Amino acid sequence: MTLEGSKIVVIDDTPSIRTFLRVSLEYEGAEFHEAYTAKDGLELCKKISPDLVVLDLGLPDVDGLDILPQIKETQPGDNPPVIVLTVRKGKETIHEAFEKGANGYLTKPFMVEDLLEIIEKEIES
Amino acid sequence: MPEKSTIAVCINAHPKTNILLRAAASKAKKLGVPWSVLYVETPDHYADERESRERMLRFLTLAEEMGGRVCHMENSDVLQSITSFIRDSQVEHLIMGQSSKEGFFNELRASLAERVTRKLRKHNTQVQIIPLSGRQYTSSWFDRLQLRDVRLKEISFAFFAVITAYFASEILRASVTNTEWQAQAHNVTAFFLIATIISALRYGLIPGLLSAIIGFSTINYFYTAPLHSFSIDHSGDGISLSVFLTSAVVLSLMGAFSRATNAALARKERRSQALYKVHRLASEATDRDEAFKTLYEELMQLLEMEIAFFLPPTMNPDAIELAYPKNLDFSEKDRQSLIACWEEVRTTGLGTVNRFDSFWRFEPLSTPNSEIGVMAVKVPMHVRLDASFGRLITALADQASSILERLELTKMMSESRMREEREKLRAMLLSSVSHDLKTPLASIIGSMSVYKRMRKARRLNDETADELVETTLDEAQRLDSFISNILDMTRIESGEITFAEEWIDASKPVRNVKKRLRQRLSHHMLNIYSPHGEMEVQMDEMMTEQVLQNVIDNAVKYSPYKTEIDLTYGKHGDGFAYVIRDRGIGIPEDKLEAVFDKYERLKQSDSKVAGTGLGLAIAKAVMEKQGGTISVHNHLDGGAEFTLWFPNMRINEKERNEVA
Repeated sequence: MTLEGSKIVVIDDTPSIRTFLRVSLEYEGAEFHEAYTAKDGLELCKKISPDLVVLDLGLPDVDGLDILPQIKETQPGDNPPVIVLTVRKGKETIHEAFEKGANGYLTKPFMVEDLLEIIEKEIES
Repeated sequence: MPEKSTIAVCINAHPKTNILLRAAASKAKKLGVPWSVLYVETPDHYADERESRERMLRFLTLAEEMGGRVCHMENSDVLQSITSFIRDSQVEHLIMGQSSKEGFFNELRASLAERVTRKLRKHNTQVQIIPLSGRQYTSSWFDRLQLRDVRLKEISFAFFAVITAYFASEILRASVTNTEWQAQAHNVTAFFLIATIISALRYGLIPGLLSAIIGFSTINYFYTAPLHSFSIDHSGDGISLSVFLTSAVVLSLMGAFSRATNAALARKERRSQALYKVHRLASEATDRDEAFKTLYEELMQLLEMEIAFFLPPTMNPDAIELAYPKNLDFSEKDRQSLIACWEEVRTTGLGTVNRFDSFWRFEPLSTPNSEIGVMAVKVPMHVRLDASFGRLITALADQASSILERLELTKMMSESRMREEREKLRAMLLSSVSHDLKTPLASIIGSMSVYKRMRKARRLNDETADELVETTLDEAQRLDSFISNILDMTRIESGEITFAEEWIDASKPVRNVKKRLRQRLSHHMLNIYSPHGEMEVQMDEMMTEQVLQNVIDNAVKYSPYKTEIDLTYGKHGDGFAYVIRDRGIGIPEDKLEAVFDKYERLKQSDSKVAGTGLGLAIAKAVMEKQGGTISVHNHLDGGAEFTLWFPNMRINEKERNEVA
């Protein structure tokens, strides 16, 4: 149970979400990076080539679903793995997210254990 | 005397003959007696008019279908045929139609019905005369030349034209020498020809022909040898006069035809223009009342008659009531006609069989899809009622119906569109509300799950614990404020909240809000200024706090970290105001009003910035309930500036006491 040394980018506009994700991911040993907008998030992904991205769909500038393919393009293959967070529960949104390359999906609110489980599975594979 | 009296109806090819048949059939039914239909065909009558013959055939068939015994006679003397038939068949009730009489000649002549009545005066037969409106609907050439409409004025004009020609000739005679006159005497015929043409062009065939004949006589009397006599000496004069007469008659005919054609065209043009105008104006109307108003005014002007519209009341679609104008002088008889028109969907009132002594004419407003209502026209005494008038009213009623129907359809469509729109907004509001409730919950649940997990692993240091607890509290407060907003909006909209009107120290809400927003403001600087000292404002303290909180929260949301937010309060105009200014991106000029619309945020793509967008809508509602206003503009140096204005303020009690 270790994320030691993994670079993880969290793109979410809610400060408190970023706060508890930072606390929890750093505690697991991950290298935590955060962005407030889609634009900044994409830049960050290009710059640091993370091992995993946590992406909120309700961003202030661009819909998260729209930058999802661009994030996937920053690295070859099916990388980086992207876990999508949203309050939207619609089947269409989930379907669209997976179609655009999402590796995991979590609806808010969630327990941090659920997220960590998905993250670990993605990083190990 | 037979045991049972019989009924007979005399018919001809008048297009409304079915009215006579119906009257006879219903009377026969009421009395329980047989009825016969009498048609006298004269050798020359309708010989050349195919349409009349066809119509006749139709009426005779109809009569038989309705149970009448048809008696078809051929005789050139119609009057004699009718009277002998009545004597022979011992008819007790005779029904006849009578067209309205118009024109110079018809007024002099007794109608057939009148002559029959006169002849049967001593006989034991009741004659019922039913007026048939208008003349025949098809207009023959005879009609088009308007031979029946010759008036005294027109005949006088023929005389006047010939007399003018005579004077012109006399002036010519006086202005030339005797020898020249001898050579030119025949040219005077030209003057009389001109008189004929003018008469014919101006008033039609009869005045034209009349001018030709008077002209002929005048030339003969005054200008051909022997003078002052109607006899003709020279064969040359005879030939000139014949040529004159022939040309005059031909010219009269041509003039009359061209006049008739022009008049028909002009009439058609005028009517289509009038109809077009009515249609155009009424089409611009966006609701029923407006359409009625326009139709009413335009038709009044066009027809120079009183107009009224009737519609079924909303609650009772079978009844009919006045819709426009609002008041109308209306008798019981008028009402009977109106109801007949509405229930039977046909023209009633003046100029029809169902008249009930009404001066109004009622035209049903109906379309192929539905019966809309009734249009009524009050026909003044002096107006001629003819077929063309009837057609005009019908055409106008058709116009009105199609306009009203279109409006009704448009209304139904826009109503359903609005319903859809509302439903969509409601759904969006719901999803936005759930988004706003779930985002803080996500932080709370997430933070607490981290807290629990780290506690369990005994890895939680104080600093991290504080951070997680702070976050949780902050988000819980945000959640509380969202819920308050939603509840407030609902309660304000339903009028459930009553507002207090207390004198409150203006700094008090500011202090409370600052305390409440401490977490929210952790990345911004809130500067508070009160340049006019302390004062009291008449307000509802709780609600004003809510407004301030919403506006400041909005400023935080839309301005970058580490920027300043100014809150200035004090005298403003003739009242008091809190002014909140941020250093954010400002508001697009065309959205300055819309930010206070509760659905505005929803109309844009959703969930870019957390919040339902209800905050400013609530602020506006609250400020208005307190008799104040809320407004926003973009500051010259960037950022938005909100002004919360209250009408009533005073310097506060402590300072008042000090002054005293």
